[in-house]
Amino acid sequence: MINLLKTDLIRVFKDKLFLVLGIIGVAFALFTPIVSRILLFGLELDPSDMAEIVPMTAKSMFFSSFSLSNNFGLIVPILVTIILCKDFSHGTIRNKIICGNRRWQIFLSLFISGTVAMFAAILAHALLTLGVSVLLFKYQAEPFTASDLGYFLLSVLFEAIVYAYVASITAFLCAWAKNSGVAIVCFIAILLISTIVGSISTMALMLIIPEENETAYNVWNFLSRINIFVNAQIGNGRSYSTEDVLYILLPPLCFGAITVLSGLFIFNKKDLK
Amino acid sequence: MDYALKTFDLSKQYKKKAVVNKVNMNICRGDIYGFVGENGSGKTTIIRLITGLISPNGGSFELFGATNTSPEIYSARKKIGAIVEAPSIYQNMSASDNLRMQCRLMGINSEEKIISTLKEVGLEAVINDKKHASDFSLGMRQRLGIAMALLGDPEFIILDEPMNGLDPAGIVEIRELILKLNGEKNITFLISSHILTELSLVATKYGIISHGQIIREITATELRAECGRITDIVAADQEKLMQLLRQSFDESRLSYRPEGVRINGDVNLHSVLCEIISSGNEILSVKCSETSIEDYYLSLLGGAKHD
Repeated sequence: MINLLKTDLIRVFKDKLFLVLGIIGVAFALFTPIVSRILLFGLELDPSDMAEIVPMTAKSMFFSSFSLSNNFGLIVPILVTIILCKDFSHGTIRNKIICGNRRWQIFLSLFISGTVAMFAAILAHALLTLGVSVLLFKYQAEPFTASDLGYFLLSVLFEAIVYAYVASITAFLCAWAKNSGVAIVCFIAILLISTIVGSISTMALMLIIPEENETAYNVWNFLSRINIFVNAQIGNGRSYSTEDVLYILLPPLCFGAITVLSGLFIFNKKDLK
Repeated sequence: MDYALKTFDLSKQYKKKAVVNKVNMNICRGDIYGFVGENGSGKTTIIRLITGLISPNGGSFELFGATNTSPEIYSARKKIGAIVEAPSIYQNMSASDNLRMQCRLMGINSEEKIISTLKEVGLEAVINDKKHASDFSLGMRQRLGIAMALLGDPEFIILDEPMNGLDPAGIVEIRELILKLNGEKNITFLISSHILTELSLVATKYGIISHGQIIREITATELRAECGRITDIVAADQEKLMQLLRQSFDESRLSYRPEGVRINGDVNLHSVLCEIISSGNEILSVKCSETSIEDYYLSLLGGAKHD
């Protein structure tokens, strides 16, 4: 398993597409905070004036970098899916089976290397965004304390879990489709459907008055909060309640486990060319 | 008998169509097994079944004594090296990097092994070359695939159409490599090919497959006996003729055919005919001809299609 994982990680990180991903990540990390600052400067606004509409802080920029509906957040899973699928298109997956590796090991290695690659790319991009942003904006409106560091690290851990879930979807799609084109189309479809459901639930929450229709409000609120692709619960405060932690952790862990188990089942039965 | 591979009614169906139908193959350790069959006969499917790329719908097989459903099959697979259909190589990596990846996968840590393997398959020119495998010729990719199959010092090498894309010099090199590995290290080979004459230069045993079924398993010695020169004699009393010939020839060289009593191999025709005449039997016709391996194969296929 270790040999498999080593091989997969080296394969992913050595791929030219990963270098392309790095270049795009750097470009977005420089572009987004600078353009935001220029826009604010052009509109003669102070970041604090925007605080109520869009919080313009380095912290918000850092955590929004992880968003899957962001440009880079969408590019990362797509390019990593292409890299992972190369094992099927080049036929090199056969070497792994012929070498005597078990199928579950091969799938888990694919999933873990996908998670590491995706999170490494998005974290590097987010950290660079943070680095540029702190030069242009404050980290946050309030002074930075030790508890903020804990909140920051915990939030990064939560993002890692979310990306592990995303990687489980891409690994599942790779194993199922064995083709990067089909896997990407399916991934975009999942993202699109989740975004539409997310938008509908957000609109519903705006229209429903909780006191008048509590059940409907709770249902839409639940649907909104478990939607990993659209919700932005991570990093938008200074501490997490137990309810927040449950809503952040349970959906990716549950859906991720289901996806990984389905992937293992499908890959175990799959005939390979 | 120590078997590298044994299959028991191995079957595979795709959408209710039997691609491999109750195949029984026996490959002993040290054999060079020539796997012969027309396009779509099921050769590659059998290789995929053995290598674990696909699962059988029926039957089973044993690889170095490990049944395909037992956990030991994974350790048994570590003893094999294979090229299935096309070489499985990383197109965006150089030849050396491809072998490094394979080494990592197998837990081998030896740069010397990479260099010696590349030399062994005639790819010494690209040892320090950064050229990607995607820029290689078909023959070079084939050699690289063979190098990857050789890396883990396998005891059993499965090569699916290994001569594809190789130039005549390359074919000779690979043939010599197969014979060398078999002779020096007693490595067992399963080689599928359409080029029968090429296979006949290396194979010690043949499996002839048609429509998903093994129609004949035959050793190279038996095949040589069945091919080559044949003499068909028709006499007035065929039974008497056969009894007479049995006194002069080994039973395995004689058979009843529609064309008459067949004698395989070289015959001193003059003395045979004199003996028949002196026995009082009347000779109605004598026909001498040569059978090539291809003729033999085609006659078998004709029989199989007929069945």
